[in-house]
Amino acid sequence: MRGIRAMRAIKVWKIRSLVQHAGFIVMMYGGRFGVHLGSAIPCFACPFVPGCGGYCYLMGLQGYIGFGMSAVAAGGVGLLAALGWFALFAMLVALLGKLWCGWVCPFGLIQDWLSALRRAFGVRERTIPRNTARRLTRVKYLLLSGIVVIPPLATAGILHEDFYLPFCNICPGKSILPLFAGEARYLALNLDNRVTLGFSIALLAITGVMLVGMFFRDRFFCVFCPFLALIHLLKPITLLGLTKEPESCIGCGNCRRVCPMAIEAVYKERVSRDVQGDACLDCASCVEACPSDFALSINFSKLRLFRSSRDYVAELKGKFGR
Amino acid sequence: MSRERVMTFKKSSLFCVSFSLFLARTLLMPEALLAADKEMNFLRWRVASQERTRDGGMTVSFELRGPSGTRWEDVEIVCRAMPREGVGTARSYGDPDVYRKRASKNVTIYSGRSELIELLAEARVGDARHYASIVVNCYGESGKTDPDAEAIDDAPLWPVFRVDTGSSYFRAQTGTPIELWLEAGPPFVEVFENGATASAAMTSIIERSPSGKYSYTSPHDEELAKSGYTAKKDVTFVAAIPGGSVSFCLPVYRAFYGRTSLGGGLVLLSSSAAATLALVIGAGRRFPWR
Repeated sequence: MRGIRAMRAIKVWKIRSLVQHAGFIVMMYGGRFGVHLGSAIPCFACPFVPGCGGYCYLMGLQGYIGFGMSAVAAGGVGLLAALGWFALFAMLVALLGKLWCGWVCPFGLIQDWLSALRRAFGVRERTIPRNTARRLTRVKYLLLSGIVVIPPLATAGILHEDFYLPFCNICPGKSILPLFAGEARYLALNLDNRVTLGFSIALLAITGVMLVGMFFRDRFFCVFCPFLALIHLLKPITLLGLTKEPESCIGCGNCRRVCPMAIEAVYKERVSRDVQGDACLDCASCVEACPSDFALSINFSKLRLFRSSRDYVAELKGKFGR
Repeated sequence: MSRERVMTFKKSSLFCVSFSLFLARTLLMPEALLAADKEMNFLRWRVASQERTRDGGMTVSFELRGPSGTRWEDVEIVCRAMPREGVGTARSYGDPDVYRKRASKNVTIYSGRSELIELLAEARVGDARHYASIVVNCYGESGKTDPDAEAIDDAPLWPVFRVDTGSSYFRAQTGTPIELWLEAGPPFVEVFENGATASAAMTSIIERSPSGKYSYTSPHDEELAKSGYTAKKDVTFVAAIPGGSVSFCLPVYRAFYGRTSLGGGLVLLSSSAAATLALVIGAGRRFPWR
């Protein structure tokens, strides 16, 4: 009985925080300890961080799409290597789905730190008007299409060679994450040529917007993140996901209130069990906050990993005041 | 002082300065280098092409150049291939595989792994013995070895420039000091920028430091900066040694973030953040229900 109580005392948000910080250390400093997880990591493991523990797949995708062109022209193994990295990425996504975003991503953790700072200052979170939010969700697909289309144009010589990593060149992760390894050079304007100057201006302008946005709004950058779009496209093969039992829902709206991405679909869905939208991070905040037994759950294939429970919510309120 | 006297004084000062410069150059520059300045009598490598093969490997074609109109004899070519090992900042270069290549002015190396290739050559021209070396990064993925390689136990003990390649990713860049050394090297080394040919004038002379190293910073190049990230130039170092010369060709790439403005960047970042902050606060005041 005591064992069960001890187990119940371990809260999911605590485990998540622990995993996030461990993920941050591995992704940011792993290379310094000889840990390198390859080029297919489905989160912002930024290659511009000196001594990082793996490379974000978006960089690999841009690189392989660009260089894959020459591999296709040569008809060679280079294309197989590109497909191999994609297969590994797809496998990692199939296994953990968007846990990569909600539980591992170092840039996600930085956003959570900024949100915690906002709460510490007693500043209220800002909301985005519904119509604007709907329009903004398309930006991540636009960025993803840029990632796919621009590198081959650079390889083919239609665009300047410095367009070869278009997303990295405007990704705020590139300017912010290396600061944690003492690297500030990406906060500078790059005066080499017009292309590098244009990209560095865009990067710094976006970084400024994102820093403020991430302070006032939970997971603001995730609204635009092409990883969410890419992982969502692989949803049919993903084993891990969020489901809802509509008949158990009492309509309290807790799921909508605690969601860092302000997703309404989980609350509104009354028919389908599948409530995993393209913006969901699988952070499990909604499951934790749901007071109805079995209404929401995180599942791995048919296995239920964590489900909503009235007792859990009561315990959270009693013990942690959340 | 009359105007004529001033003019005479100016002329004589100018003459004195010019003569001092000439004297300093003549006295400070070793005789061998002066001779080399007139007739660049050395052997050197350059990369002719570098491309991926159908099997995922890489081929690099090198061209050996030397004093024109002379007969080269006893040409020997040896390759040292140093694999990259480890991950992250713990990366290093492993023990080199050493092999001999067929003596020719045009040499093609096949690389099937991630490695740093060092190509060495020796040739006799008349009574003089000349040595040349070059380093090139290769990123083959086929796992195959060079089919024309004849493995040998160890590289010959030729005089060769060594360059500090650091650990993980050696890629010499403009604007970054390059440190190299040559065992029992001369006090001065000539540097030829951008693949200068024998007929071209040498670019500069670098002096050996008390620690025995030569340090050189290849200047940023406007044309290189305008080109893409793979743009590079050949920088050749030449040392006159007793009975010949030693050259070393190093491909130097455009510096990533070579010419930057951190101050400008921070101003832009702050402006962007301030504008966004104003927008957020302004929107909050106009629509207080949010």
